Amino acid sequence: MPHSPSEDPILKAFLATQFEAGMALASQSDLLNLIPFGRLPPSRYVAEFRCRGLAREEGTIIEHDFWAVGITFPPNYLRQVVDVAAMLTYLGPHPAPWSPNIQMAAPPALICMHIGNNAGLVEILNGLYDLISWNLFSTSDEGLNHEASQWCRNELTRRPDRFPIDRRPLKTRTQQVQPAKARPEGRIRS
Amino acid sequence: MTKVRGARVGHSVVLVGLGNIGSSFAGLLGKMPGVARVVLIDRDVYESKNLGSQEIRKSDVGRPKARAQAQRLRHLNPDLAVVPVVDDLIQVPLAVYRSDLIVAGLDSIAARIQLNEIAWRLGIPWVDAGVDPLQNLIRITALRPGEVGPCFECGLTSSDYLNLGTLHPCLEPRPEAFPTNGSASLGSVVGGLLAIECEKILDQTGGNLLWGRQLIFDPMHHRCFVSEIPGNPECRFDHSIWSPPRSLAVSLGASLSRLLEVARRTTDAKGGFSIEVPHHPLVQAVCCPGCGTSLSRPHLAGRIQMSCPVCRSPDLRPVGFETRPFLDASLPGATLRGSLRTLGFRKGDLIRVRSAKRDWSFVIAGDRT
Repeated sequence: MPHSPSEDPILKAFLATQFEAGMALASQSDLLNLIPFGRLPPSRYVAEFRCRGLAREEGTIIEHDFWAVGITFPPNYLRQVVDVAAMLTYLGPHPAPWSPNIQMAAPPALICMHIGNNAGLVEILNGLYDLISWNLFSTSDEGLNHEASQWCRNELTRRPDRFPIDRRPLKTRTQQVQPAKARPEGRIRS
Repeated sequence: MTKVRGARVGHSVVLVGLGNIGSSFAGLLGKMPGVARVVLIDRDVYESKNLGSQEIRKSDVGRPKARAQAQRLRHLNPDLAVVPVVDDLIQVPLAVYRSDLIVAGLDSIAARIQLNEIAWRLGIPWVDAGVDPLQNLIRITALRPGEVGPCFECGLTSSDYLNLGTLHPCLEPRPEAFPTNGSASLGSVVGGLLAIECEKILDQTGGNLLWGRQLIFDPMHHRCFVSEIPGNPECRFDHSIWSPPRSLAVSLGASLSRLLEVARRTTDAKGGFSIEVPHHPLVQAVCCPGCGTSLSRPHLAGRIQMSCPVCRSPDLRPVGFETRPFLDASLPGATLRGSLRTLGFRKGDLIRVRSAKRDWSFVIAGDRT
């Protein structure tokens, strides 16, 4: 039964934990920007992935590097059948994402990914990144984009090393290092 | 006790699930002294495969279970007020469940979780029955709402929740419960035991009541066990009971903004407030898993049947990120101007009005019939 997260203390505690963990992951990643919505603890997020994935333009499969996904924790999340369509929404901006598990349709579009009962935000974010970056993909025709499934089966035959498209781990943080100016410590005695 | 127009004063019972268990129990419920009104809820129709295990006739095959059993009860007891409801238990307006007792012969844990919450919120005791056809075991559990419990979810483990499953947009639209396949004799025994427990509860004529306990009967080995169900401090359900809802005089032809206005005046809620329709968040857009078409069609979840205008698929899924659990004045103007009926509201729907300081419960009175 839909129930206010703020009224259900059990769900509220779960969402608070997910908020902390999700924002911690985003702070440790160059590839992820996580935007919470609503009052704390939030039950909705937009996850922006700045990673390489695939899209289709004019019949050609190209690489694209910015993806937004809406994540919603429904009020009955911890206690009922997990409805993936109610939880994940492809928000664009590319109108034709290319993945067996993402509808190739203008946003809002559906995403198909397994989410177990009680799965946390970090697990979901990692799963989404794996889908978008082709670290994880379905080669059977069970997904939302059968054409992409067929395409990747052909690609695997043609180029076994084609995937993943982006090999960086989600938790990637580039360190900005400024080398200090060298200072002579002493003379070399000849 | 319920005073039923045109019938004697007596108890009101809601029976959810009319399969192997429910169909056996229904006949006994119809003859139960002291029961004046029965509501029968089941979304399914009888099939020919049910003839061997459920209390039906050949002429009932193809008929909605609720209507078939309602006809049977009216034959058994013409004085009984019988209300058949052909719908999913979660779609039924919550006011329909208001009664002295709810009895369940359901076929899934997910359905039991939903019914447990309904019973708790309304403060109505409920009795759950089940069979294990492999071991020929019968189970009856009686639960009475309270802050401490136990409730149905108190007995669930993490594995039980994991086994509820996941609904994927790329697969079949509904996870179907596995058929119980209980025999007719097993159904008859559990129906009889259920009837005895219900008589004890309704008339309190003596004998131990089963509150907070579970009865397991093993007819194969002539054994019977009664065990306490402990309240679970880690239970995922919060156990809160809502105060009895008041009637809200608003027509289904009225707009959503009118409902908000009436709610604000009736509650005298200061500042911002919102309305929640339990079980039915507001879906603002749906998407077709087949062809990717998306539609903007605001409605309460599960209440409006639509087909894809492009590929005619009936399997449209709500766009999760655009689904809102609360209704308030910030909704788009077109949604606020829409009538409650077109949004999927029904007479008897329970709504929760929430302000910063407190909540109120109301029942939509709807149009006079």
